Amino acid sequence: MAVILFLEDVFQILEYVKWVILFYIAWWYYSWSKEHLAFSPLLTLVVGAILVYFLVIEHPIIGGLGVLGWVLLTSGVLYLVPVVGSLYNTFFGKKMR
Amino acid sequence: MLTALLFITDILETARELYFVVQVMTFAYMLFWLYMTFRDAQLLFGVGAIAAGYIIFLHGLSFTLLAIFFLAFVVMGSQIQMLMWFGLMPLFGYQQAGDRFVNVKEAEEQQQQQEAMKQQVMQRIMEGSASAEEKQYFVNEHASSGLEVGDTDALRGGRGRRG
Repeated sequence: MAVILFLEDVFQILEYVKWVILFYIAWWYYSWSKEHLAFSPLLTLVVGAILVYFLVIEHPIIGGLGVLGWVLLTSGVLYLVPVVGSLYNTFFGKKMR
Repeated sequence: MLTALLFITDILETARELYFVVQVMTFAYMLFWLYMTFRDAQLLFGVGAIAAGYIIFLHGLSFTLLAIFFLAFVVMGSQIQMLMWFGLMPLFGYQQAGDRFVNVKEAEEQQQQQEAMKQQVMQRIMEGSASAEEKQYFVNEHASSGLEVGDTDALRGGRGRRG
């Protein structure tokens, strides 16, 4: 019984986390709209609403992947990918003759 | 059968919605660029906005493909290159070697074969049964050490150095 209660707590927390993530995605798309249409508050609202409706309310997973993919690509963290291989080769790979 | 069809319609519906979203984003990009370009000529901005809307929403596919190509090869080109050179190809066993990719395993095998062949030729030279071609091969292998064909005979006496 206690285990089930504990699990309920975990799910509750996961639910909160899900909502926080959804709000973050919505904010991200809305600020995208704000950044690109700063010259018109009406357009900002319209485009922001379209983005949030389709990418957060209708397809939250696709919207989330979009944010994640864009952050990955623009952060430059992909430049670290080769480091993984070279570190592995340096310490665990075959010795070069 | 019917449920499968419904599933496909769902996917198509999602694709259509996402396509619309991409069109809206492309339009937003275009509007921003038009606004910055024609900030002092509102008429041009208006005409440009109408033209951009027409192109993007009525000839969307070609325009979107163009935008995707631009993003992929111009904006993200260096990232793709890095990923291919140092991420993808090493994963398949290839290493970047200047003007080509080298298969690490094959290169190692080739090196081992060459090593074995060199040993064989060396052995024959020592025994005195090496042909002129083999001697030439040995000299070519040690070209940087200044060895000449005549010198291979010296190896028989054990005076030659191992290269």
